[in-house]
Amino acid sequence: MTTTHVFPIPESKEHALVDGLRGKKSWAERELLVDYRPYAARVLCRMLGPRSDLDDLVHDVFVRALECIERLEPGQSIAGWLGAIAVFIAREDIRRHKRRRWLSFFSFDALPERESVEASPEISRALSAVYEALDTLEPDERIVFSLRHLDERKLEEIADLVECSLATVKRRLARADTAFAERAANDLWLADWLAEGHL
Amino acid sequence: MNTERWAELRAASDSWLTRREVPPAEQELRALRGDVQRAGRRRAMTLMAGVASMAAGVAIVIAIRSATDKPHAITFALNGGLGKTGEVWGNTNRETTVTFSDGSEVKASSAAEARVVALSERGAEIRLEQGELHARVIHRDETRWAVHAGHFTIRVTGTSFTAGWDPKTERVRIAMDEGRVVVFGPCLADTGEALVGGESREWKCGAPAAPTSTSTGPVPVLPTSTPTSTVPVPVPVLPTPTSNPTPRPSASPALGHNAPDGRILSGSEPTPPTSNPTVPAPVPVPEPPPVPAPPEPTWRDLAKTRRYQDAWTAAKSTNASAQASSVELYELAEVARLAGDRAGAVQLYRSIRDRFSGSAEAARAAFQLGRLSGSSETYGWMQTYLREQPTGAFASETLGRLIELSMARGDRPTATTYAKQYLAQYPTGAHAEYARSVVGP
Repeated sequence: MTTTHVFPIPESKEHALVDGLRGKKSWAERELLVDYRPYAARVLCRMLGPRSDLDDLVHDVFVRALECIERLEPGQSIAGWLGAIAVFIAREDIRRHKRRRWLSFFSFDALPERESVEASPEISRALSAVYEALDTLEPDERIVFSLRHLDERKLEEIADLVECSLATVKRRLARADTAFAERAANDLWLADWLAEGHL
Repeated sequence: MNTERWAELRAASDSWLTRREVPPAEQELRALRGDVQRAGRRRAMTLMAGVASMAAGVAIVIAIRSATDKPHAITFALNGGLGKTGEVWGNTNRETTVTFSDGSEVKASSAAEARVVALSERGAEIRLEQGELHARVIHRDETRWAVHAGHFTIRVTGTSFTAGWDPKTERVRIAMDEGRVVVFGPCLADTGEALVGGESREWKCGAPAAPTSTSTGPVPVLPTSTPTSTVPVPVPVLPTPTSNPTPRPSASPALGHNAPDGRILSGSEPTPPTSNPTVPAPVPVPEPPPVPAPPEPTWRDLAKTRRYQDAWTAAKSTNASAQASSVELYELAEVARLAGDRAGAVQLYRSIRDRFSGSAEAARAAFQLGRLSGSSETYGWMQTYLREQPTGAFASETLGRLIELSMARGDRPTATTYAKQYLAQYPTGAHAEYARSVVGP
């Protein structure tokens, strides 16, 4: 698995960290947290948007990572491994909220608070509109769409992260692009904003 | 898909990620280890209980849902929890966002005070006590949403608008983004007054306020007979032979008074002589002390509620650009652009370049000037941005654009240079394939 979306960590250091994690060393767990917490937060934020409960989800990523540390192979990219877990957590979260919306009488925290971003009014509104549109997509399609467009991932990388074939990623992305374009077309402001960006 | 726009969103998200508060690593690690241990124990128990509870759970859910035929009311989230009707929100130092389970969203400005007064399966009703809120209501079949502001009711079927209510002056103001609303009030026709996207209007029952600068619709038609609304009318009561002969003073004498024929006149219109000489002359009543007007919203307040036209008008009237910092000036330029004043925006971006040379905002202004300028100038501005922010938020888009522009000019060597730079910096970027095609094998 390859990834270019993490700050450069020397290969030797990463190998040592993997060994430490597999040996359940506390220093390695601390180092994993310190070095990779921003990365996990960024991957989740791309998929789910700026949210008040983002740190809870980051926490869930690391709980799961430490729970199944034995699946981390020697020499494996930590970023890829954690990224796949972040995708899993994000998917679960999206599905959970969809289920809770369906079971409306159980809908406590069905709608996590969207955090206000210190950006221009235009960007704040665009962020809100884009993630509102993404909320309407199917979870798997939303994830592929977010990783491709918002996180600038290569299709091969996405296939690794979502653990499916390249062909499946392409199909999901095509469906997501169409669905997002339809949703954006219904929001005149968003459609206009997106169109303005063409140089 | 639009790569430049995604870059802007990425930059904003990254900025938020870096500014938010993160718990110390040690504290997080302790919590993490505890949760991992608990999760291990829980997993074993869950496995045993899961099989048994699954069958029972499914049966219960099916039973409950089949027993409750009627649809459930929507819910709303407030401050991270489930909101309650009647709970007053807003009037804090920051904007309050209320999200509804049907996808609708209401944002109350920092000075606003509001509460949800009713929830149904089709929508919600909100009472705006004071200040401004921006509502974005998702349209569905038979959507029933309403915002009550003083004696006015704004009925919504799926739209985005800003409503403001000043209880002191009893003025309601509505600025439409999109969609359509119908406004009901004691001085409006029984069928209400419709507003559509782009319109902006203000009313005070007793006298219609002058249309605002962004208004495109007609001035509200005033009823020619006494309003039949059941809502109390906050206008002076005219003396009639059957009514109390002592007239009440107008709450706002300068704004309006009623004519004998039932019309409501503006403050500047002279009162026609009464046609009923039997009516006693009004007894002079001391005027109440003037109530200080609430502070006018600043251009930034208006921009936050997406009233870009009003924000831009306010900024120009206060000469906001004169003392603005680089960040404020950039925001102001964005407001001008969103208000549709391209020339004004260009002037401000150029002003940022002149006044704050070397700042991050100056570099971003160069990028925006590249977007807004003609093709001949675009090239130069893009080069400027890249020189000043070689790894900035817009660098990948700028490089991509420079490759395209160089190729369009027939300047392949320059295009190749930019393409190589692009591939070195963004080997998986959106323009990577194009850059490789320019560089060649």
